[in-house]
Amino acid sequence: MAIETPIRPDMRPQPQPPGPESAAAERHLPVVGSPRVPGLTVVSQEQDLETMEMTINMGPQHPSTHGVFRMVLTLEGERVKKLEPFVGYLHRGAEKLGESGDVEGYRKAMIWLDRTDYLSVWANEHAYVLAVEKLMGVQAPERAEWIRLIMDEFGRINSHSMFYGAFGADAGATTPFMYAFTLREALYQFFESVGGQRMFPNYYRVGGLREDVPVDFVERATRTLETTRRSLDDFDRLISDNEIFLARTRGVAKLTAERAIDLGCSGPVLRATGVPIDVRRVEPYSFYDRVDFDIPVGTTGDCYERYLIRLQEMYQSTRIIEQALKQLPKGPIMGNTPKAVRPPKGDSYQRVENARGDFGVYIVSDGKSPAPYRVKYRSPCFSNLMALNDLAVGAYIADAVMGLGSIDIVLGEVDR
Amino acid sequence: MREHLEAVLGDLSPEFAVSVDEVCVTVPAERIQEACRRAKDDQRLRFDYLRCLSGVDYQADGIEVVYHLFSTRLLQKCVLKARVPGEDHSLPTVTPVWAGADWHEREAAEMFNIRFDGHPNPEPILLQKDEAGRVVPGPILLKRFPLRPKEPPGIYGFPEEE
Repeated sequence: MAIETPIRPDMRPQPQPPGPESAAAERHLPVVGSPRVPGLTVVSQEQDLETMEMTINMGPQHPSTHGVFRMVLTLEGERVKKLEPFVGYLHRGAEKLGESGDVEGYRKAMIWLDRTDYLSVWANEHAYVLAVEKLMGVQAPERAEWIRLIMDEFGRINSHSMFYGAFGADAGATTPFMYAFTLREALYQFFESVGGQRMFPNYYRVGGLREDVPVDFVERATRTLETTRRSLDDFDRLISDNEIFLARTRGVAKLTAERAIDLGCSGPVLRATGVPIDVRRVEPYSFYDRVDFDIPVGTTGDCYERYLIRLQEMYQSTRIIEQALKQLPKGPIMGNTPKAVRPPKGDSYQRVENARGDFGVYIVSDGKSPAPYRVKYRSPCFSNLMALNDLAVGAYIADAVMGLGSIDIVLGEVDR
Repeated sequence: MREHLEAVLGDLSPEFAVSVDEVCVTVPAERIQEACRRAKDDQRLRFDYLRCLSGVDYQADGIEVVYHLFSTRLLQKCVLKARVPGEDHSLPTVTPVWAGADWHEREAAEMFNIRFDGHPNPEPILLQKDEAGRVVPGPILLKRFPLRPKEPPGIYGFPEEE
């Protein structure tokens, strides 16, 4: 049976009747006053080359914006002339929800806190419980505090390994992402065995912990630590000396120390500029004054140093965990804290060093309600992201992407 | 620490208090920029790092803006507070003192319906504006703003503000 082919219109480009523009285009000359792209203004016509300012929108769905960050870039050629960041796409009102719990509100606020920074959950919970404990004047037992410290450091390794994967992907390498996820899986299995949940453990309590760790905690931790060490060596060998990676990161998106302090930057972004400010050292909380560790500090404040600092911090974290596991005592995991948490009237502020920097919790209590009267989360990314303008303006658009990646933003924490 | 603060901020009618482990200084709202400038520039204080800027709604007692300061040189900390009473919530901006106050002030402004006079870009940051130019869903961190709407949710899921 023959199939009848319907007659289609000819879709091939048809020759246009010659006009003034096409005549000029044939001679490779720009038509003065009438740009080829409608709606754009010609800013210079040097050497027969039209240069135009172009405004493009990056995000909120762009893969290199790490979530739902949006920036409007004004470009001149490949160079960024102006950058306007937009955040707030992930705003869920974690602070309002934290203030609105009716029964056991102090515990419920922590559930919402977990969802803000989903990679650095352990350290953020630590800041919250320390702030409430400070206000109530109670202290967790030694065993609970050591376990908190160990889990904080595992959380830091988890978060930095995700940075490693994402940053490698920003630079054009997909393999780091696979390596990072292998380590992340091992860590999450360990987290699950401790807190019963992979991502959002909600494990710390005011005055201690929810429940004790499994009996084989030390063996599990040691095993995870060995996996981590092996992975870190792989991480280092894979891209640290890679020529393309060096070309993409060294000397790119620099930040000066004065500017970083003025903007309130913290964490690896600040330390890469040569300022040795680490909350674990300058304002020791928990038992960080009882363990020995180094603070890696950069000199030039470029992307490569931010990457190296995070890599070194992971090694330092393994050192801290090793010492903590040796000192882990036996004993209770919950102090003499009343079940219904009711801090006296007043306010307190506790800062910790989470994976991204200086994370702070400000709590105001009115002395009678079951939830905090006011809870404010000072997220390090919110301040670090303000530095993006300094990193990106004047650079190539590809370098702006590297600059954004090196800040290691988690939009859940920026928008809260 | 407290003596230094008294010497530097003495003529701004400060009120001193202690909140657990930090020295708290409350200054009049209209003098806050001057107080911050002095706290940053004085050689004994050198508070060059704004850790946190938060608003607290004390309902009938007005809104308190809290500045948590830290010195990266001298490794010391303190808290500055300014209370803005009444309906017209406005106080001077501190962005000329610390550039990092920019986004924090924008956030506090939209969440508590206060105005920072002299702010370079007084736009909402986490919330957005609707066609009429109002910030939606509104100053959500004020205590009188309901968490759940009593009426059926409107277009933004929150009732219209009176």
